[in-house]
Amino acid sequence: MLDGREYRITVIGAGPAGAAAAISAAAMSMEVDWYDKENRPGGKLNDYHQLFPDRATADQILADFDGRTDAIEIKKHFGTAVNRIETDNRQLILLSDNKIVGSADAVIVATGFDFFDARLKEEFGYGIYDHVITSPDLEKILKTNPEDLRKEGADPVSIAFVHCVGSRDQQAGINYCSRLCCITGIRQAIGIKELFPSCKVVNFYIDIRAFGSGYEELYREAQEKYKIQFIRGRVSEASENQQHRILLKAEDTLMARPLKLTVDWLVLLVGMVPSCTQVQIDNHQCTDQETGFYQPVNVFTGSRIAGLPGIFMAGACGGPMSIPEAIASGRSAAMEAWQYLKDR
Amino acid sequence: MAGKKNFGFERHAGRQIDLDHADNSLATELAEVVSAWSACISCGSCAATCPAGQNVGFNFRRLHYKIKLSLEVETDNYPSLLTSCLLCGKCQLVCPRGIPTRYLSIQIMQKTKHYAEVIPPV
Repeated sequence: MLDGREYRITVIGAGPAGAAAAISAAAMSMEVDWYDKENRPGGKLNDYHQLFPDRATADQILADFDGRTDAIEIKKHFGTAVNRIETDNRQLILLSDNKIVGSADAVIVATGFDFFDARLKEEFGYGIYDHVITSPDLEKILKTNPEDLRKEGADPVSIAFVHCVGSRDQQAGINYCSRLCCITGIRQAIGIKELFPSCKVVNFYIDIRAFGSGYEELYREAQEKYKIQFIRGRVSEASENQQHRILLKAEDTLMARPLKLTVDWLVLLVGMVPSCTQVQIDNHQCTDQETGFYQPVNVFTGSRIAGLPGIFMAGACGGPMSIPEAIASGRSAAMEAWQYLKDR
Repeated sequence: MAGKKNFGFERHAGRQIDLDHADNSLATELAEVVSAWSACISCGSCAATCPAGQNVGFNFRRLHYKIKLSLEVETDNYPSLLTSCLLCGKCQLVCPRGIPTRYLSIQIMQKTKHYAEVIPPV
């Protein structure tokens, strides 16, 4: 039995990683303060429709978290953005807009990520053409009102997805792979096919990186059962025609020939970037110079943020991560925090 | 062309693949009889192992990928390309997606007109 009764821990962020960390810390009897800048927990899960690979609804996961966080002693401080931590001897002082809001023996930072701002890739026309949307935009449409995808009552004839928007792209200053956009594109393409079976759905990819459990199987299902067409080649530019349809140019690299396609909607599968609400810790540079994500003390064995005793990281604030990975990382950060507090 | 100089230029069809106006009837028909074909990942194992492909310009991966993109259906190019296929089935042994490529080859032969009379139905 892990007994953390005399330890006071703060979790910043109420997405999947933060929820898992808070639940685990509370289960070890630690005194948990749980913060989020929003007024409700769930983070980006609130805007998601379905999850991969089994296409469970995001609401199911949210309900599960709500049930568990309500059943255990956790002090919730939602609507408070902790954006600074100051270390005072062994005490960690939490500040929100330069006002002290609390203190703790250990902190788990689970501030998550932002989506890449697709307007920076001007060639795709996001923010310029109405029918160019991003994967989180599509997710909201699928969740709230899929009818919005119809045009004057008619089913869309064709929809294309572009993989790797703001991912693996030196032009965008992002050299890493966000890993989860591929499977998001596959799942969303299936969602479109289910709504509009006669719609032509084309995914433009560079490599398909379907690395997780069940991902490859979903990819194959998308090809074989749903007849989604995968074209190896990156869309180089999008433009709008007079019918407000989007004209795409790409190369089919398997044929070594240029290609064109007109679509009703263009969906940009945007990558994951560091959150704009990262927490500043004293005056430390605790994020990776190149990617901007938090750096662990050891990528294999430790989730403590490099150089900072008592401050741990969980979830996608440390780099692109799936929801199950974020949950596991939240749990392990709680465990490490307990061990740190016990040993110090 | 009397009076005109030959500058060495010639006219030819554009190289751009037009997915908007593609006639994909053959691809649809084939996908119905060989559903696993849709799961092709263009790895090239079939073409790499093909004994015919080692010696002549026959590339099975490229051939059926062209059908998928509805390329050159109008020129009826497929049967002449498939004359090189020995139907040995090596491609099927190496396909990681388990696509019955030999059967696919026969289906292509049957569904393209020149070979309809030559190859008996399977």
